[in-house]
Amino acid sequence: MALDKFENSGAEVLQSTVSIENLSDHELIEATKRGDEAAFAEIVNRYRKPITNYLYRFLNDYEEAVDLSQETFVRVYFAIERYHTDYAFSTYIYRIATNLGISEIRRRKRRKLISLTGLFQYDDEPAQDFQPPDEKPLPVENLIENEQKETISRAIAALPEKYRAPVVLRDVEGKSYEEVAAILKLGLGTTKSRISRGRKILREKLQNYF
Amino acid sequence: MNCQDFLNEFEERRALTETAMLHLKDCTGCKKTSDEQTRVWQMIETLEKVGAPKDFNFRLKARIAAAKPSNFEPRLLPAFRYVLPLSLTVLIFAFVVFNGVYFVNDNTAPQVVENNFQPVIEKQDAPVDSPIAQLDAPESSTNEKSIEGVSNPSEQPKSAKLSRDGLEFVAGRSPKRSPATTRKESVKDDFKGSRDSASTSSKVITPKGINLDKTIETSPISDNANPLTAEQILSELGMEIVSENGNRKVKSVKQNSIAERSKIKVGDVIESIDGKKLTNEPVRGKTIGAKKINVVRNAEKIEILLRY
Repeated sequence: MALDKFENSGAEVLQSTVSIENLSDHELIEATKRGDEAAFAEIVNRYRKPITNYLYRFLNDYEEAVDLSQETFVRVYFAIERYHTDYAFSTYIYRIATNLGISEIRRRKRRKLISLTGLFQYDDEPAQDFQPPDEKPLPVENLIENEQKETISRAIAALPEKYRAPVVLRDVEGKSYEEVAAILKLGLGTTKSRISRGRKILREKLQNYF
Repeated sequence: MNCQDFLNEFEERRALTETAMLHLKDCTGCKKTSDEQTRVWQMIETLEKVGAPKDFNFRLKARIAAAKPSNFEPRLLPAFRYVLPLSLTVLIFAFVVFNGVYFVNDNTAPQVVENNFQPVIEKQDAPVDSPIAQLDAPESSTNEKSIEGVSNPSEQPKSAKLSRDGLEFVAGRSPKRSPATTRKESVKDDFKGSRDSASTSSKVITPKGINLDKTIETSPISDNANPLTAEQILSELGMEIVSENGNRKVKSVKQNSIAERSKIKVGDVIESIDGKKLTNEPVRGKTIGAKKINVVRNAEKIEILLRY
């Protein structure tokens, strides 16, 4: 497989894969099944950013999101022969990512992982990262915006497991109800209900910002 | 339009219809909810898209290379994971079962009599053709020591022994029927074999903890070639039989005999041994192997399992 090309995402690869970029996901999958390694490299390039972003919003932990994102592609790679083009590839890969994210949440619950950051913060304070303090003065608008971003991120990550994935897929990733239902293997009504309920919980959590 | 319909339409995030707009103007609750949700969406939109790190592809490549061996195998693993232990279990079970059957049916194997709670039998007179004496033993070891009353040492009587502590076995071969002999002897002495007695054998199987010097009781063993009569069999079991109208009635039961242990009572009429009717014809062998006796007691037929 064209794993060598993973490292070269620059102009050279773009030049050599112009035709590949025009292929659909299913065509890339078929090409990957035939042994075209460049096709899989193109799949990775297409989906690594949305999958990483989705998992980051799902877990609110960048390193873990990158790790699970890679695990998602590893699973796609090894299960490529079993993939059927009956439904969209994006649905397939988001489903894998969602399952990995849910597994991670449950693993954390079991092990009761404690964030090092959490040891130095109070419940009513925003999380403080271990970074050298930036002495540069920030405009007030930036401070407010950063605080809001932090708040909404934590509010999403604090949603119950069953509501978090639908809300992130719908409101953060912009998927349609049908796509969300397909990814989560839920009925359309159930999906809408969970999204609505998740949004309500979010509104309640963010009452101080209205 | 009611509030639920409005919210359903609003949450679709499509352009509101005129009726929905009219409802929004009139309903303060829906207006508050829609304003708050709009604010949430605005906050979500401020979140920038997070991308993959620069070394994402490099790390992925390494990960795929590392995961290759272990990820391709699991398709075959489930079969081995379950089938192999199951097969092994079945094989072990089959081995144990067939092995057990082999020993049970093996007539050449020594029969072991357990008698954990039985006191030592100092002396027990028994006829020559004692059913107990029909215990067969493998002729693997020799017993040169002759037993009293046996003229030919090369054909010593098979002897079964009962001891206080449990199981015992001595087997030999008797050329002629002689009364059972009880004597005190050291079982260890039985292993002084010679070539003369090599054809006949005796073997002692003694579990751990058994005192071999305890008093043992031996009785002659009949050979299948020398048939026993029914009276002899019953006598060997410890019953004195009298004939009444052709029936064999128990006149007395010896103490510490098989009959007494098996709860055979005086007055019982013996009908059959192991389902075989008793006749005046000699019965060949099959005495020590007898497992049950059918008797008539108080006009009631009873099946008695013999307790050796």
